[in-house]
Amino acid sequence: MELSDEKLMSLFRSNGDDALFTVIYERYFNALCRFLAWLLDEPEQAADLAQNILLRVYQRPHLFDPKRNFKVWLFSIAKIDWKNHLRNEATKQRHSQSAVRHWQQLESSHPRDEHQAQLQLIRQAIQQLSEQHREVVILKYTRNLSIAEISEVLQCSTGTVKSRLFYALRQLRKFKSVTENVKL
Amino acid sequence: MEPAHLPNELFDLIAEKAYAALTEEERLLIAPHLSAHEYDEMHLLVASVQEVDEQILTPRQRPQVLPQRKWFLRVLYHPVPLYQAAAVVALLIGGYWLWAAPLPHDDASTTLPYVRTGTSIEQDSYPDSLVFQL
Repeated sequence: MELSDEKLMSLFRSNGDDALFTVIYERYFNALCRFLAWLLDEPEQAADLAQNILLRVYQRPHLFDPKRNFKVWLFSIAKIDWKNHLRNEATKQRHSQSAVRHWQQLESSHPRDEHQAQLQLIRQAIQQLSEQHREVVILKYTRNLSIAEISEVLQCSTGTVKSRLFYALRQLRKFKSVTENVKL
Repeated sequence: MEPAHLPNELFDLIAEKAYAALTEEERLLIAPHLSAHEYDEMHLLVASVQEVDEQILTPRQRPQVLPQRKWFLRVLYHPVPLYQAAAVVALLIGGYWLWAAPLPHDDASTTLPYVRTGTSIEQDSYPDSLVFQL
């Protein structure tokens, strides 16, 4: 039977067996990378941050309270790290250039057709969203967190999460229809 | 109704099913908030976001050597200016050259083939003329 994240962390805390942490790493490294890549637009930076987060968890497992939801705890750390990263002024300056480069690379790695053009529109639309709207969409629809879990990660009410999610989806629709009309 | 009071299930359904696949009960849940067209547009948007997410490439890193790998990656990807890299290479080559250079030349070393017999040149019976010829 597959052990829950909380159980794995609890066992890792008590006996320090690296094999247990490997399972956690396998479950979350890619998820963290992608979550941070959406927010940072820099895959290298995202991978670096994700690695840092998991390294800290590995070195200080006692900071995790087994009564808490591990996924929520991990994404809360990711969110704090992302915010800290953004506070760095130099990072902010590089941000926009790197974002363009990243999405161009992603685009060039896939054949240009109508479908890929649509996905490109979605990327642009997500980039247009405010940070608050972007993070709820990403947490809900790519990392599959529940509304309650997102509210815990973002330290806000479930009502706020739903409200942000609803307006974010509406904005995405609006952006997509506007850009499609412009193309026509 | 305020978006804050929307049912949680509505947001889950948007990710899970197209409008055509919804049950009657689910359609009733959605009806007060979204039209079928709006719902389907949001469903397609979410599916596209998920597809883009899957296209984001992540580095494949092995967890077993996590701390060392971290250090290794930092070194590997550290942006070292070309002139610094060239200086390091030059220092390494220069250092190796100095280390590997022979000590002040000793002519006796050229006559070592004779020493292989186990006796030194001073001790063996070859005449000096023969030694120098060889």
